[in-house]
Amino acid sequence: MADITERVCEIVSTIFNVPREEVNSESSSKTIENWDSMGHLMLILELEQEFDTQFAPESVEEMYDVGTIVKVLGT
Amino acid sequence: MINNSREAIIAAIDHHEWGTAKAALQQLFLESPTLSNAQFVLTQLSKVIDETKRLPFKLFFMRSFTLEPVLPILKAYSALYGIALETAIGEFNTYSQEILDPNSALYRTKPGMAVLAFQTRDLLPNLWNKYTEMTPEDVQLEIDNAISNLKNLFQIFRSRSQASMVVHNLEMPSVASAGVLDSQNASSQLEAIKRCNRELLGIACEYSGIYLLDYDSLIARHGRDHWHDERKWLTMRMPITADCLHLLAKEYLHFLLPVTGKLCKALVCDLDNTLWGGVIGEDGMEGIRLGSEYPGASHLALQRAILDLYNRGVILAVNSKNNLADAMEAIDNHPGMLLRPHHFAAFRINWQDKAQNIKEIANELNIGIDSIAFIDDNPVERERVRAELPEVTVLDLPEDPLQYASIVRDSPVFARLTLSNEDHERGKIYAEQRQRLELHQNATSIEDYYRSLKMELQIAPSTTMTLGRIAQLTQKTNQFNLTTKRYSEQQVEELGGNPDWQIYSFSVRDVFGDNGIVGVAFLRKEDETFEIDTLLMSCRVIGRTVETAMISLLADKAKCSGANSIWGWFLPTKKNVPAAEFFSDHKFTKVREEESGQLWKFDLSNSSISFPEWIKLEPS
Repeated sequence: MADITERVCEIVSTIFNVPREEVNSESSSKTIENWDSMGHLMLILELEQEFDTQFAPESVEEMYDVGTIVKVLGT
Repeated sequence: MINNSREAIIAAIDHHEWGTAKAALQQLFLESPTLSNAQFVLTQLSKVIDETKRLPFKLFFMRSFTLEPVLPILKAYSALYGIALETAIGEFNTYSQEILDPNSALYRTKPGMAVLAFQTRDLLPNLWNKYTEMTPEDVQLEIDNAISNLKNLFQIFRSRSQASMVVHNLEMPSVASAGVLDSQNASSQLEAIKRCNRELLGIACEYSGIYLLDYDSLIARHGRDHWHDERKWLTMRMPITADCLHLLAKEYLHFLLPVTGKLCKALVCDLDNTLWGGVIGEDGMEGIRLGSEYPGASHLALQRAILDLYNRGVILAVNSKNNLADAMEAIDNHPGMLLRPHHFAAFRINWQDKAQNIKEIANELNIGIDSIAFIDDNPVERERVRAELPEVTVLDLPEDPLQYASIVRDSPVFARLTLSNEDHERGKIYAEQRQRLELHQNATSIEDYYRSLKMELQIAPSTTMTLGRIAQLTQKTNQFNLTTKRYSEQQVEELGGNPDWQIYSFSVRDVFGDNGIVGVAFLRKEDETFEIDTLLMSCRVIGRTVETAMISLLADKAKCSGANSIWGWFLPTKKNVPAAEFFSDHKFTKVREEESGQLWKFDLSNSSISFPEWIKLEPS
């Protein structure tokens, strides 16, 4: 789980161009300015590629914070 | 070897090791062109390369689906090829309004290139969704409407913008609406889409600067089912799977590089284990692997790919560590060779450093180091060239020779969108140049050399036949170019029709062959003077007094049109040193000196510029 959190934070930090140390489990579309709907699509595409998976549309709509993303990836 | 981990790249940047950092970024992204790597490359590259050194270029997208995720990847590719790309994107399915409304974002953005990206389901919705309910007449009507609508849009776009436009063609469905029955029918759904694509190609060809992107073949090449993401199409109008995004970005790059002129004019090839398998000096003629059977077939396929580049106008040269006699024996006589001595414009077969050889080849061919690509199976040689000459495009070959040909075929630096007669003949022309050089070395005086060339020059006003070549020369000529102004075909066409402007092309023939159009001049009349807006000459005729013949003719033309003086700017760039002395050599007087350049003037009322006696003027 810690490893997944680390990988997700790394991706969130590069996709939205924010310093790695400012990203944690609490980070969300409310705390990161570039995390708009198009940014979200790019994040989802990147996560799907990185974790070699496909998210259900229902999950995609909920994955607007790092904690939820890690939870979805863990299940 | 290059360590391309993100940590290593950041460390290299911290230590100001720019060359290492740039090469590692390049390798990281070419190996794994994902969105997050794209962002990483863009962020890090901005620290490595001064933004002002990259060519700024604007691209506008008109689209019927979500293209945004492709853009960061395209920007990263562009940055790695020296282009600072700015993108703007229109709303969904508003391309008609964008093109029709003269005040739309499309025209306000003033892009250098526009992309029209639609899918079959958007352009031909009935044919895509309800084909089984349609009569052949319905089908034809839908295609006719779509094509005539597009034709109208192309025409309006062409009349309002000088930008190039890249238009997607239409993709086939993965499974036809009628299943296998579709293939039994001469007027099938797939046939109808193919017909529409043929008509689309037909109307695109009618306009200069409108190019077709074969979207259907692109998808087919990577697999229709693999390419399409139905879930994201339905939820976010994003029809492309994450791991295919870079493939579309790369396809755009094949248009972007020729349009911006960021391409390679020459390919410098290694021999052993590249053009053939094995080492000629050790394995001998019988031992090297080259021919139609595996494993020689891999190298034959590479030669075929390189020969295709030669026929596209790419100049070829050899750079090999070998004994000259051994290597030439194979190139001359090996039955498997497709590439023969007459295909190569320069040979460096010796035991010298390969980077040094490349510098010499660039010199001999009179082209910039940055327009050279280098192919070599040996990673050590590749790193050596990268380190010494970072401007050279080094193609990374994988270990398996079976993939060599596709590496060459996929490289965007050899992409061309138009092919002039000159392009087609270029390889031959440069090989002839090699013989001229040998003649020069034998001549006793420079005048003797000029005379022995038996040059014939022809001057002609621009015509529809020569527009393309004239525009191409303004875009590609960096060395002998007084003002380095770039013009598109459309701009040349417009200026050609303007009574205040005169545009001339110059062709040169000599004892070795026809060089084609090698010089261009744009004159602008203002009261009783003529301004030389553009005067340029291809590097292949530099050092043969052709420029003297050109300016002499231009001065005559100006005088005949009633001018009493002719003046022009020399605007220095990093590359146009060969043209720096042009005005002073021809007795122009400097009238102004500014930071950007110098203004020179020639008084026509009591003097003229003499035409070199060794050049014969051919009637046009």
